[in-house]
Amino acid sequence: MRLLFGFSLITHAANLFILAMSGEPGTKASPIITEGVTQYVDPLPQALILTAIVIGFGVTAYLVVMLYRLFRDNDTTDVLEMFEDDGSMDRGVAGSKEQRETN
Amino acid sequence: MITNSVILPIIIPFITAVVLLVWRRPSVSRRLFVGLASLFVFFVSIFLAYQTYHHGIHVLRFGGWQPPFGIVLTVDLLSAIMLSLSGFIVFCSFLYGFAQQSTSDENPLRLPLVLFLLAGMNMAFSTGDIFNLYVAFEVMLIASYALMTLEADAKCSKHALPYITINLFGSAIFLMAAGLTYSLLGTLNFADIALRAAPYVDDPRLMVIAIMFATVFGIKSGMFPLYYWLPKSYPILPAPLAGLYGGMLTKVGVYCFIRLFATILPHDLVSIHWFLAVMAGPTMIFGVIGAMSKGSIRSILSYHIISQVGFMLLACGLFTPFGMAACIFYVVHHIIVKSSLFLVGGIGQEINGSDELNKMGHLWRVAPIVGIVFLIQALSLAGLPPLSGFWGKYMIVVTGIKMANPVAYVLVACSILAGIWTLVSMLKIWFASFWKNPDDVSVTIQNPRWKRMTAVVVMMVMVSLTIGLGANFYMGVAEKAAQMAMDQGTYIERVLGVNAAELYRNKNDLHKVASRSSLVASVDEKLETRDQRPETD
Repeated sequence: MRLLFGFSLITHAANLFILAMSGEPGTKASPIITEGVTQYVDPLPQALILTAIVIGFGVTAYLVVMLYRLFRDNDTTDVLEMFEDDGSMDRGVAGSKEQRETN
Repeated sequence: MITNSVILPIIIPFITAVVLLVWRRPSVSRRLFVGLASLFVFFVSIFLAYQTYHHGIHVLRFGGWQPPFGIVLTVDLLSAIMLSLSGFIVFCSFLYGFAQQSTSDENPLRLPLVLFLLAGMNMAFSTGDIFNLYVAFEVMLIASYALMTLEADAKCSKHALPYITINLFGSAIFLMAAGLTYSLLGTLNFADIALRAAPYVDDPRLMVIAIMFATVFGIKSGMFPLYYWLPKSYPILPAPLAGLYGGMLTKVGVYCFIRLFATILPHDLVSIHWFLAVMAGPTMIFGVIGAMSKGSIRSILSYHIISQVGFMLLACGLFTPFGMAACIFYVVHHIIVKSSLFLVGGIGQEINGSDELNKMGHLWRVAPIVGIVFLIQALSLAGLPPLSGFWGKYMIVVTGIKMANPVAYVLVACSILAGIWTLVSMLKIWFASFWKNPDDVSVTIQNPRWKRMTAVVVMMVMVSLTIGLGANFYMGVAEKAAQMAMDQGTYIERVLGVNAAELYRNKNDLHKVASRSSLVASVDEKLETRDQRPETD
């Protein structure tokens, strides 16, 4: 569950980051051509963010379904618990690393 | 006409996939349709490779917008080679899947998802724009997440979680890196970045951008500290998809590394090239050590992907034209060999009912052809002459020795060691599954269709053998591709026009950038006021 919220946070952070990259808005006008205005806000980052939001939405939808499926398969949403009783294929570096990360 | 065909490798899989979403019921005619579509993509890619080999880079400007404003697709020889490979592997994976399952067992969503994956990969290979690359990555990744969990059973589905998590994180970093690039250089177009980044060589900001991209592509390709998701998630895939993932997906990351360092960023970022080469050492060693410790065919092969990616990154990081050619040759060799090995593993699984090595045996007795095929590809992976792997490794070692640098010598030693250990772990598979005839393991032929599956793999081995035996021709192509990818001047000329290329060639007088054409000038003024570029003399 926390994974999902973490993911939403980080995508929003990335989107805001791009918005910040378009510079100080100050007194600049919105990027729609009107007479007598010469200073516009750079529209490209806004277009990028729009795309990124759409993609983020799709991925979030997938992630929700995926987590629900993991919940049904393992009866838990706790990643640590999920990987606890793992005999089959992840002994060794990979398994322990994963567990350390979730700690 | 020819320029417009650049879009075909993206649009055909996409349309086919949408049609298949409507045409839900698996049937023979549906399979025929998909097979023909993927074959067509393959032929278009080969045609593009032929065209780019003889006539240089193709640039498709969407809507006629002049770069750097519009979206462009640029296909050079390297892109065309990758397009052909992805078309070929997807076609083989389809054939193998058709051979393995009858239509009644087929999951109706598998084919459309693979096609979306193909569309995403092809877009990543042919785009000329960083943000487009991000979108392509997302298309590819979402399809790959879904494919990974589509046919996994309840016990295995959780192993997809590390893969998904780390790639989501990677995507966020990618997005931020794209934002930083835009704020620093005011452009996202590859050629325009190449043009404008030159004065920033000593600027830490460009370094940060390069490192962020290297992290993203490192996650994607399984570079040393970022690889732990790979050997956990690939073994849960069914064999034809494991072949596709193992062959193609990590190589998208490697392709992006080549594109990033050779075409986009200035060639003077020596410290990052060395960083890449040095990281390649542990990638090779840890990958192969992991492989030796594993006990099932698919896990062993998954770890081998990591160690092989190390070879490619080493060749890319040494950053000489010959090294780049070695990298491209190695990618070509590796994709075919690795996919076919995963597919051989799948056949073994059908015959023995498992791909855990201690539950296998008798394969040589039952299916000698599979044994021969496996041996050829395994020895090729380990790098024995005259198979294709030998030439790739040979070129990398020669490049390393030519550097005449102690670090390069150590890295070359690592690569030779990794080659020997690869052979050891391949022989482990060979002895356990083909050679020994334990009494407690019975041959339960789960699926009588394994003979047809073998035919597909034999076809791939033939292709692989021609690479090994006709190495001279493939070498020539790889060298030309490398030279094309590294020639930023021509790239800029093709995308942005002659004036921009002139400017690039006398790159020291940056302030001329503003006056390169009346169209660009207005925007440049805006950029100039926005981020107060430092004057460089």
